[in-house]
Amino acid sequence: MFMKIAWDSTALDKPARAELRGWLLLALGALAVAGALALLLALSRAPGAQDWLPWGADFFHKGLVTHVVFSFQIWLLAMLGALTVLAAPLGMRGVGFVGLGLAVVGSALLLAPTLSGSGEASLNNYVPVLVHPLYYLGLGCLGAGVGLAAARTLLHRAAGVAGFAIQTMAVALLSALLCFVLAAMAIPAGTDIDHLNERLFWGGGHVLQVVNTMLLMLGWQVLALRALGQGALPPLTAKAAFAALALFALAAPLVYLRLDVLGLAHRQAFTQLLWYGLPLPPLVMGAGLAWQLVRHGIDWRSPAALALVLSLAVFALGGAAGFALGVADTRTPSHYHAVIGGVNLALMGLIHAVLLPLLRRGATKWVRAQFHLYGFGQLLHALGFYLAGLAGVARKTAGAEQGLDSAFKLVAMGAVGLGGAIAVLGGVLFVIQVLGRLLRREACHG
Amino acid sequence: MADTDRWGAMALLAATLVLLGAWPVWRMVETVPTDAYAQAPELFIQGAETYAAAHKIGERDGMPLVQPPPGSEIPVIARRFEFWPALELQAGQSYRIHVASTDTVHTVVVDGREYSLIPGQVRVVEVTPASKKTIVIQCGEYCGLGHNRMRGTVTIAESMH
Repeated sequence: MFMKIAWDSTALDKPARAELRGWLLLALGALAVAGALALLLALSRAPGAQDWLPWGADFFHKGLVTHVVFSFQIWLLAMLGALTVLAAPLGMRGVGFVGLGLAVVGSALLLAPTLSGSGEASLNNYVPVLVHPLYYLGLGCLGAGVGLAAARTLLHRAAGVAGFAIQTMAVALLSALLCFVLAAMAIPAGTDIDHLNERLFWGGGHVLQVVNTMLLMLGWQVLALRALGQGALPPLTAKAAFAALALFALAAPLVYLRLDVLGLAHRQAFTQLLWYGLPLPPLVMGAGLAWQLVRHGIDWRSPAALALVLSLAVFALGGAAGFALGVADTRTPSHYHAVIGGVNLALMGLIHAVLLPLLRRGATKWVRAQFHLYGFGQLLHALGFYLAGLAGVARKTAGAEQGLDSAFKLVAMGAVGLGGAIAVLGGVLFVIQVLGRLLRREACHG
Repeated sequence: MADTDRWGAMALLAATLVLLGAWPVWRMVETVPTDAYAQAPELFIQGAETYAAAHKIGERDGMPLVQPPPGSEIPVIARRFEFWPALELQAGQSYRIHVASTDTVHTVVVDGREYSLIPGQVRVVEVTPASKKTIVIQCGEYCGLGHNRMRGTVTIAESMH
């Protein structure tokens, strides 16, 4: 039996709305926690303030790890969890709540070592960690929770592009989780802890980028339907775009069968996986979206249209920067800040234009300001990182380590700071407004 | 419209299958043959220190600045979070840099090419610097909180001191 996703407020029964609200509270709560940690990070580097923080000066790296995990992994995975509610079989609500519970417990476990100052920070790629048993347990619970919610969508045939997209995302997520498990099994005991963390999260981390791209594309397709009356791509082509990404995600675990998990070839195989597999589907859908926007014109008052235009622009900047990257390239931060910004804008649009109305929540205040501030802020932030990288400013460094010895570098890092601050303003507005709506009782349905 | 959609979907899937098939090909394209041999890290450190002392011409970034004779074999230590010592090479001359990790797994990225560095194994990388001011060598494998600082700058001199 086919189940088509309906996007009006009568589409979901009460338990489904409760679960959707739960996932959204987790997603927005994760951003709120990440924001609070960012504030503590700034204080931990401020002379004077750092002395009265209970965690001491080494909080910077630990707080940074958890800030990244909350603002990146938990936010995006919880959004995926929220979307699975829309494509879940009717009889599988219980599984969704178990998944949500696991994800919430996992998130709490991630916060505990951070706030108690336990464990050493490891700033490895994709999923940075605190080396502490509770942290790994927390990540395991989070992965299992979202994995469970995603897996249930595969137990029936959901119709429509959105249903198909959510199911292919579920497939890609399960493939990423399998990569983490295969890596954990393959890495020999006694491996240096930094090397271990890098390789434990390398393969699955790459596949999660496929999932994030699918989140972006689902946002584009659905928002275009809302704002322009037509999807970014026609239905079959859109489904093919999602299937294309899922195929590469499914192929990823094969790397563990062929190449030594600690070897250089293993690392490069996943970099190449993204080079070969990731660009084409969003490129085709982005071109389709641009064409639809030109054809229909842009209603700048519509949050969905605003989300589409800004998401497309920011993601395109990140994509173009990605094509220019080489090995250990200092311009890498411009690429990932822009592509993540593009994904975030699409998800912000989905929340405002689709998910809050599904939960019978009214529109928030200053919606357009949220998009303008976050979107243009991220553009400036990423552009600054590109110029700084071009001048050779090292990644993930601060203060004297950055070696800002020229006016060009100073201006570039100034743009990074200014753009970041503007984007943070938009992000704070978004989180406060949407959390406020989610915490209110739902409106009576007329 | 429906036909265009069907053809679009088929073209996208066909292109994906071609790309999926081409994905493993990167290994043939990217594989760069380099010499490698085994040596205990302690012995390698000893050799590198002796070499640096013999060819030191000054200090840079808190480490000896070494100017090896053209065509020579140069030992360089890779360790958290530095490439030791600093080098000054002559433009147009060929050198063989013997680089080895003495603590954990690193890689060395030279001119966009990456070579793995496993403790106990020495990698030999040939360089012939062109007439430009510097070559940046850096670690491409996460090796700890200071990983992004693990960069070495090789200056290129037009003529010998």
